[in-house]
Amino acid sequence: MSVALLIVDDSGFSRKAMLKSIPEGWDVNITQAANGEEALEALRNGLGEVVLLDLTMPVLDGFGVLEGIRDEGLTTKVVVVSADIQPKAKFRVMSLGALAFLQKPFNKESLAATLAECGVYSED
Amino acid sequence: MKIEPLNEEENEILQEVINIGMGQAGASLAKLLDVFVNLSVPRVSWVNDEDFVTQVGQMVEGSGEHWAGVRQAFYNQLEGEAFAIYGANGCQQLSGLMGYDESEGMAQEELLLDVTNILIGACLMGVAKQIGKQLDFAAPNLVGIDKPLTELLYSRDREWDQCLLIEVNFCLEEGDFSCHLVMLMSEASIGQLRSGLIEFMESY
Repeated sequence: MSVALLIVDDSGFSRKAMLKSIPEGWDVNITQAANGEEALEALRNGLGEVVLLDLTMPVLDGFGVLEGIRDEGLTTKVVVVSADIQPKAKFRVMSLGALAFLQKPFNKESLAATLAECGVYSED
Repeated sequence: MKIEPLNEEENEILQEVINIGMGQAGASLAKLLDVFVNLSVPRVSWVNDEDFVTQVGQMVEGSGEHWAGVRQAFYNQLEGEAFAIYGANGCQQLSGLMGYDESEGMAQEELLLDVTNILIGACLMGVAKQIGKQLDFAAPNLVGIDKPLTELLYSRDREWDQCLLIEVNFCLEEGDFSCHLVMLMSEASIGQLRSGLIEFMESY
């Protein structure tokens, strides 16, 4: 059965880059969101078993999304994909329940490796 | 010569490339000051010489009427000028964060130059590296402390009519220190920028 994958980034270019970098052969059903509010809405509707989440966004940022997931008790697996490479940013998202932190710029290989590490995708 | 402004797609790629540069600059600032830095969504616009100061004014709105400003020129395949704009008491705030003695006026100014050098360097080098372009920097110089924007941004020898204006800002989670980075890229380097952005896009 296909996995509901939610891609959250305010940059249309960045969402496209993520779409293109998703491992071939991974059976996913993709939804996109351009800010944190849209992301939470999609999650409430069950559209994000796995989330690729940016941090710096207008309306509601990625930290806010992680807090929303925690406060509303939403079940999902979050991989943060961000250019905010402060060690404290990584520490915070991990404390808020993210499974992994992938630095931008990423590529096909680093995305596949991160998804595999989290156990949401298997390379074979 | 009339230069085509960046189209919507090119603008989007540029914003993402700047986002990555800004992330690197923010991490450098966080490390230097041992604080958490909140990053902004980068803003990009096409401006002409006359309304550039007005546009920057709108971008830094809410930060008071007087600022401290440091200017740093960059050149090579990309060229232009970058400004770091701090609140009028940015100097003291930075010194406080670094544990400097208040009486050390000279040291405070040097600190402002050093921090600017780190921020602009990390941000623009991050951009240049991703799009495969060469970039060099002149030494930063302090334009003024406690001055209005018109004075800080004035330049007698600016030769462009139109240019690309890029703004990002950093603020600390605690305390009211904040810094806007304003970068102007000249018409002459838009061609280089464009080719680099397209190459970056095609890498995905």
